[in-house]
Amino acid sequence: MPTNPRARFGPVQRALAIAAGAILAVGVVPASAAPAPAETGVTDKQIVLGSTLPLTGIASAGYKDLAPAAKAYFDYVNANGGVNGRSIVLKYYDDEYNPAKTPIETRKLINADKIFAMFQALGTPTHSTVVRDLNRRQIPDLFVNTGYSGFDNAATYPMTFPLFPSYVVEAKAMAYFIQNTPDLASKTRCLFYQAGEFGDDSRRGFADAGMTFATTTSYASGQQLVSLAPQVAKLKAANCQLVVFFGVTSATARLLGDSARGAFAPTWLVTSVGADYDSLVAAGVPAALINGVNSPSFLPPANDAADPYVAKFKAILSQYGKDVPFNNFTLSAMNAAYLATQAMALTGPNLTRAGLVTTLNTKASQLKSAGLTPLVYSKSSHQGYTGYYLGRYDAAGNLVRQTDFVVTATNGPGVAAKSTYRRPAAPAKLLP
Amino acid sequence: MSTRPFTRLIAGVAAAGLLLGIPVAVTTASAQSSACALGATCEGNLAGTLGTSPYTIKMPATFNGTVLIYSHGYRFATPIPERFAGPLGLLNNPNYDRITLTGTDGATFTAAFGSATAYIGNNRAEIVPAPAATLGLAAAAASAADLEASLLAKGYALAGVGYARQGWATAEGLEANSNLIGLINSGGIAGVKKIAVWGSSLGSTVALATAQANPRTVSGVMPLCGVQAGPIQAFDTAMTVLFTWKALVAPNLRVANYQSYAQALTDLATVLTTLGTSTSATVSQVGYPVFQANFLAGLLGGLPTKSATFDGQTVNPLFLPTLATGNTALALSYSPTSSGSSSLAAMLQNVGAAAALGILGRFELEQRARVAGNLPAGSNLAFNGNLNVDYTKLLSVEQRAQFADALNANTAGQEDLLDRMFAQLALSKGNATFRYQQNPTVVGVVNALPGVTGKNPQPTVAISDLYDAVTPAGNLLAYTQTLAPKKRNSVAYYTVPPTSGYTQFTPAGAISPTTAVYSGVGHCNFADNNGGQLKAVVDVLATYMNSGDVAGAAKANSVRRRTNGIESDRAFQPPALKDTAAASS
Repeated sequence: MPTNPRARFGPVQRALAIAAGAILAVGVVPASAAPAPAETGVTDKQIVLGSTLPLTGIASAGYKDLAPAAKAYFDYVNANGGVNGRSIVLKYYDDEYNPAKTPIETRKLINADKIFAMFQALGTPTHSTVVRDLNRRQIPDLFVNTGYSGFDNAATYPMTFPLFPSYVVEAKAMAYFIQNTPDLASKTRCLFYQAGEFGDDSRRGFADAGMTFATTTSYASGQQLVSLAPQVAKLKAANCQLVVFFGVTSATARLLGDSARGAFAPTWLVTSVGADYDSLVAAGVPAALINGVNSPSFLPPANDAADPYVAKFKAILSQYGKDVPFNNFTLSAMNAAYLATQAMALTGPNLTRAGLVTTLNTKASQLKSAGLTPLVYSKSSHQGYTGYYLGRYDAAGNLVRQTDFVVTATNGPGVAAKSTYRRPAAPAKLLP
Repeated sequence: MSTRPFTRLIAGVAAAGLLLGIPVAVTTASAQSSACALGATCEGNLAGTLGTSPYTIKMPATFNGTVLIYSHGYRFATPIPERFAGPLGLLNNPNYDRITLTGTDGATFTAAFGSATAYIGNNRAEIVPAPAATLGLAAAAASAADLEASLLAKGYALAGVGYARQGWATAEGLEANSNLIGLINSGGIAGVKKIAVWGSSLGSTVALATAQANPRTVSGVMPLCGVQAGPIQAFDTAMTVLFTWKALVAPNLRVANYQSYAQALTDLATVLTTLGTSTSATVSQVGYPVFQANFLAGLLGGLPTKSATFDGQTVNPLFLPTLATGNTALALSYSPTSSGSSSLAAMLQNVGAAAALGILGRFELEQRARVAGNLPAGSNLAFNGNLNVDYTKLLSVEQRAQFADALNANTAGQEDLLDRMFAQLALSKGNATFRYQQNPTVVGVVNALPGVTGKNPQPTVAISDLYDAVTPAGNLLAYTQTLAPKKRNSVAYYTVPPTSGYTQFTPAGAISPTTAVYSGVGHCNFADNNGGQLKAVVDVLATYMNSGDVAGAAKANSVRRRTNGIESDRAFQPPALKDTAAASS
């Protein structure tokens, strides 16, 4: 079950507002004339958004469907009157999850396609190559597809709005769940992470939570292609009974396999980005090894037909994206598209980049979505979703909620706390 | 900028001889007394307080009234061992003389480098820029010849000087240029309406200094692949790179404060030999993978992640099939999906390219300062310092996120490699015995050299390769943002390589000899015989000089849109130079 389709892969997988006064006609503009375009990427008929993501290559599995799924939702909105009468056009290009290609494709979106805003650009190493440039050009950068905490920096990146809760928040949530779940709290716990953003964020989150580990170990991206047996041996030698793991899905697969071969069977608590059931099975992990794995999540599973958001998004995709599979990844993309259309609609008919940013900074609480945790944007924080519930896989591969509540935290100092948040009811049509 | 403090530097020319006992040639100054005829090439010598400089003037068949005076780039002032001549592009290079050292020096070279043969920069005048020798001398010469013919056909008179002394010769270049302008305006060329100056690399500083010093007689300036941020900044980059090496790879590197030429050559030999013999599995004597340590060094110094061979982008197709089988060497060395492997390899080449100037150039500049500053033997000659630099601050959060995989990967099974490398760098913070403190006297001498103020009034059309490891494109950004931020008649161009990538592989997975890129990457690699980049730069400056700023700006934008290999995005900005002062605490 795809619980958190944030993009993170391992080896395997203007600011030129055209003033209305710039109309070159010498004569008087008739009162009935269409309003002059007020912003790059916005005409009286359409709004152009852009995205980069891996459509090909070994990192494209699962993620190549994200933009088509979002486009399907936008097509649904367009068929129902668009956003304040404007249709949404989503342009997206394949960067192959190659950071050297992301700036090239992004500049194409900026200079050739004249986008109004970026939407769901995917990946930490990739988006890191363009995030400063997008902010320098004052182009809204909506709902970056990654769990890296670094993009939540409203001072440095005032135009960038991450969506998913970060690995920092996830670590704090994990600490809460461990401390408040007796059968987890009693175990000798150990931390295993991928060096880089996973390690940086998770260690900070656990440190803020005051949580320590009997032993800590790490791997370098790529090492999972060969073996994680040395790390498994280290964890086993330390008598780890609960292993908290932050890494990519391919590494989770290697870890579960190497542990089974090494007769090491601790309780697992795995970051949601590394615990997608379908991806683990596709990587050859027997279902039995996944059974019992704990993982946090912030979205309902795509196979939860009883969830009204899930049901409606699935129906929309079946009509407007017939060749696009409905899964946790595409659910997430459609949910992000729903949020984007609401934000643009709330900004009003005079849609500007600055106006959209103001809307997000001041009206995020009015946005509805499938997310089960609060969505927080303000002038000082661009956190996005703020928390998690705890789930555990059953033998059938369902992520079964272990908590009927969510815990929330920030990317700043502090610990996670139980939240009373209840998601608003789903509007019947899921239109902005 | 005054050159008076450097009248003493002619004594330093003799001091170059003191380095290795090389005789210093003295030519009799002479200059032509009549105008250089149309279609003719005229040569002579200009006498100055800093020495004698040869000049060349080449007249077109029909003169349009504009003279272009070209200033060449840096040439090594000290003998380069033959074994390094190839990698540094000095073999058969007309700007270098092949010499045989004799006596003690010859014996020393033979013992250390296997040969008494060496290469040393000469004072040959150039009248047009040629691309870097990394492309091959024939290709470079062909491009220069094409540019020269084109400019002559348009009626420009072409002129240039050699410098009385090599090395960081901005004072000598400025004096020679000023003397050449005097010669031209006193009848050396008939019918002169405008004089424009241009120069490559260090020559761009000479050209800008000439424009600053001659605001009424120079009408325009074209800095090419410039080092506008100045020598302190340029060698600060080198210190960052080489100090990182000292901490992580080769603790015996001296890095700065060279008391002898032998010390500098030893550093160069250490770096080039290590680069040439390391593999992805090589661990340094202090326990860090050389590839990753070198990559970190380059990133901290602000060097580009593309090289003439490696585009930082194209993944070796042989890598992909190995993913399924878990190729150990690959998997443990690189993150193939992130193209980190290509950038890692590119940085090996870029550090190699930057090291020679960073070491030998520093030695030469320190010696200039020692002589000019009357510093006694044994004095601290460092004009850069890193005593309190926090190196973690030199790797931006964006770079850390982009390259974490490549920086952490290693064959030695070392966990959290990047954090460990930073911890090692931090160990010496505040330790004056392992790090460097600036000598204010030396800093004063270096800062007194003719440099770029950004205050020249003339139209300025500048161009830089985006991925230049010797003079990073951040120099041009510093010019447009800091030195001359309000200058309206200024244009900055950046050349870029093909967006589709340029690294080619053979079926066996090796780098193909067909791999070629002609602009955007490398030092001063501008394309003319197939790109017209410098021709376009001259056209833009001519429009500014002859038709005013409005027409100049229109021409500039047209060139940006239409010239092959020039970034078309007006809002484009290259990465800024690294700021070690801001990273110090």
